[in-house]
Amino acid sequence: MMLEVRNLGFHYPKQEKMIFSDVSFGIEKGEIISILGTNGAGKSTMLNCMANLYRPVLGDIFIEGRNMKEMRPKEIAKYIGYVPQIHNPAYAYSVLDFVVMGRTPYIGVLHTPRDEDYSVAEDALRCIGISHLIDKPYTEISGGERQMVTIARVLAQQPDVILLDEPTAHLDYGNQLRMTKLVRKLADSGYAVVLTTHMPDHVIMLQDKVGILDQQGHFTFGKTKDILSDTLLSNLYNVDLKLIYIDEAKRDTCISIME
Amino acid sequence: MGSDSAGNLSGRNISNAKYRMIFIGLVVLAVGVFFASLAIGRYNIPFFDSVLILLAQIFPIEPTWTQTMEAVIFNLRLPRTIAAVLIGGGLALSGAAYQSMFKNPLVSPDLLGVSSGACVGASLAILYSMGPVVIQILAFIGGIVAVSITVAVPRLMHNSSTLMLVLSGVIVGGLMSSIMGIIKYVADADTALAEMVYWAMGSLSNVKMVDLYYIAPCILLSGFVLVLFRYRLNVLSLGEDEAKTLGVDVRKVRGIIIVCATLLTASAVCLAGTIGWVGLVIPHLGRMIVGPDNRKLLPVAVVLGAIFMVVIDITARSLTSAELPLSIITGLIGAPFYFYLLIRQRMSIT
Amino acid sequence: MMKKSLLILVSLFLILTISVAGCIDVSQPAANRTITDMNGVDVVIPAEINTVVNLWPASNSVMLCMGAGDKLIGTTSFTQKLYWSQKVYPGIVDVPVATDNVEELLVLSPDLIITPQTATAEKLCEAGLPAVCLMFSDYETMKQAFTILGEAFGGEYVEKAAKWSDLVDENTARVQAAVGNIPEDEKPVVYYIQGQSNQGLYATFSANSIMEDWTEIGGGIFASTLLNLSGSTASAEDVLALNPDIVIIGGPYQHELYEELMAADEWKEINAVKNGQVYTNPNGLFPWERFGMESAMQILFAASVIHPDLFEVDMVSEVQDFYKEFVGIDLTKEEAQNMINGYGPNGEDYT
Repeated sequence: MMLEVRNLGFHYPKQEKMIFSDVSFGIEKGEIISILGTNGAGKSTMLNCMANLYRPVLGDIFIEGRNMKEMRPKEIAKYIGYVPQIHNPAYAYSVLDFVVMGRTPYIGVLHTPRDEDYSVAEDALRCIGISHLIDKPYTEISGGERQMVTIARVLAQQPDVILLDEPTAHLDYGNQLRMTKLVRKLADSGYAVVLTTHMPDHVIMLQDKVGILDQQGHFTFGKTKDILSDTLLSNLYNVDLKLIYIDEAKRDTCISIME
Repeated sequence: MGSDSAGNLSGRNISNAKYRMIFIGLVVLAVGVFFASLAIGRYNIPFFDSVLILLAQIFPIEPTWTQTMEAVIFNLRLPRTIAAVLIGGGLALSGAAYQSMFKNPLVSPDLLGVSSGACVGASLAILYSMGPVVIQILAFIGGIVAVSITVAVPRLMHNSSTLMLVLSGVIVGGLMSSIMGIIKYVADADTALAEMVYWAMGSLSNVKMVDLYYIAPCILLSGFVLVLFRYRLNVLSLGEDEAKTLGVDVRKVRGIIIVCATLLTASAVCLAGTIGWVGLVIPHLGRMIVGPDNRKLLPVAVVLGAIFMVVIDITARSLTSAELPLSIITGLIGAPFYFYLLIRQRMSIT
Repeated sequence: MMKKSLLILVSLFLILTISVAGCIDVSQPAANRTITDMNGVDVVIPAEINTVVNLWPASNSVMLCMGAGDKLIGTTSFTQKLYWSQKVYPGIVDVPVATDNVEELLVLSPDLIITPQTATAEKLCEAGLPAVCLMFSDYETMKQAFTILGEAFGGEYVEKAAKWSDLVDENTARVQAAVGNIPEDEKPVVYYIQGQSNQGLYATFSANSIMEDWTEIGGGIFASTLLNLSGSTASAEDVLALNPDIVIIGGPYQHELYEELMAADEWKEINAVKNGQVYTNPNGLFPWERFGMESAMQILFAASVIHPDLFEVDMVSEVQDFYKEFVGIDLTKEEAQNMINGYGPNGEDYT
């Protein structure tokens, strides 16, 4: 098991209400897990726990059997890469310099990137297909391109697990679909991918497994095919939703029944 | 040089070859300015003589100059110039480090209250009629104490985010100002108060070589450590959370940066009083020339800061017969330049 | 019934309090007079001055020098620490240190308040306090200020003030007789270092000051005048460029500064150092070169060091005579010499 979450529970310091509790699931290399939920349910919070940004209040997270609590940030970063929802740049580093920062876990505290690190970065950019951006200041590219560049940075980290926080949230319709394809490609390349989303269609497109987090903090986990249903989605979003199979797309799609 | 869509004025990243040229050019300029500082001053020493006096340190040359001239160069101008180099470079370095660490190009080395604390320390020493040495020591201690308080507050609040640190700095700065107010009120208006105000405006006129023996190692060591952390500073400038996910021990690295920057600034202040604007503006200038990558920026900021400070000192002591306080000159140059930068930034947010 | 008597009781109490408060009047008692201070402000003061709050160290020393120390009910910490103050008026150590806090002063309710700052005088006068500003900058204005003070205290003090003015004129004449005819270009350059605190060798005093006065009377040229200095810090290089012929170091820190100067490489070739003409200034009830009454003797001292070949004086007996005349005490030769050397009466440090 690449990454395993056991009995995870979290509440913010000084607050009593648990955002979620008793969450358990695991992911293997090549798998995709989508965490689906409404606004404010706590999806990002859960992802942040997995990224070692928050300390879980209850439960543990295991990376290849090792408890994350016993690992140093540098070690964790060699296993887990995190793509934030949005990145606000303060300084105009070039795309290459930005991507090579993904190599930080492998660079000594007092050292700077070596030629090998730059090669890995260039490979990552090539892998995603954005090598043409390599010398541009990363403040001068579009939001969608910046998202891709951040993913390239994560690839340069050479992790085993990639976490993405609502990767499609700030993208236009076309880019959303392209991003979803990229996530699929990443999983096919052998990464274990966990992403948060609130688009049921994307969950369906990505398949594998899904975890549903509702407002009460309950977490339902399982194979997407098994878990996703009209009732579940309608209850989750409090709107009438139906899953309808579309022949041309060879898959279900989530449709709202409105008057 | 570009302003980007994020509205931040930052330099284009330049190639390594170009960088080398720029850096060497700046170092040459720095050396030139250094020697110019030894040769320029209100005590008239013919240029040729000043060259000979310096060469006489290495080669045996028969003195054609007066002993006073030699003493003016080595006892009056040399310590000041070395101090200016150390202070200018140190403040610029601290400023650049903080601007990366706090992900904000608008912060100065005094963010966490070191200058205000040093001011309190020095003023206390002046209030109790202590000599110049005690003033320096108390200034140094004052700066360290202020930053210690600033750093302790987030720990008490169990919130070690950058924002909490900045807020804490604001509070401590305000606290120091209030204490300064009390000290100034109690001080004798004719003697102590005037001395305090003059000290706070910054001057290198009382720097002696012996001061440098103690303070230079502190500045050089902390500066060196800070430069060693140049790459981690880049990563920190992405934001605390992202730096964490890239494996950086944010608390530890931040702690080291704060310690070094505080030592640098406290040393500078104890030598020369408070000098504003250098730590704020020079890193900006550096970024405009070589870009924000600290691997390139930090060395350039140090040299630019040194050049700037030496030129300021030459101006301060040579322009009029009464020596101009340093803060006034740095302010007259720094504030308009800063204004210009802010306008550039504003214009790019459309 | 109870309520009504309570009401009457409370009203009576209030009336009583108000009338008592009305009796504690801040305004001046009857039989007042007016004096004009150095800013030309008329201030009403009582006929007799018995209690004085003096916020100016120099002026405190003047009061002690005139023998009026017992009038002090508020002094400065500088005055208290001086051993000379304690010798002349031992009770000085028990006099509290005064501030310009209006409310405190209203409580103290002195007959007269002396301050060197116009702003303070204004503020205190507005509150109804008898505050005078006695600031001066040279001998002429100093004479005026001391005359006002003598007038305020009345009686023998009027005479003392007059005698002091006369002494200044006498000493000036004596000195000028010896050095008055020296041509301008032969006058030595005199550089003064002020040592009220140790601010280094380049803390001096501005031109247009008492220091300029006694230098010029003594046949010298004041360095700050040549440098057109309006502040009190000189540029090191400017001073060295002048190549001063004589250096006079004053204040409590004079001895430290003297050592510093003699050890400084850049001063070794300067005329004053080469020719052994670096002097410390006498410190009595106040540093002589500044704003105390002993500045009358400064005229003699300055001339004796600026032109030792032209003007000789037995400083020790001058001091003894002065103290006998104005302060009313006898000093031994050793004590007088200690004063001239810048020390306390028994040779200890000045403060």
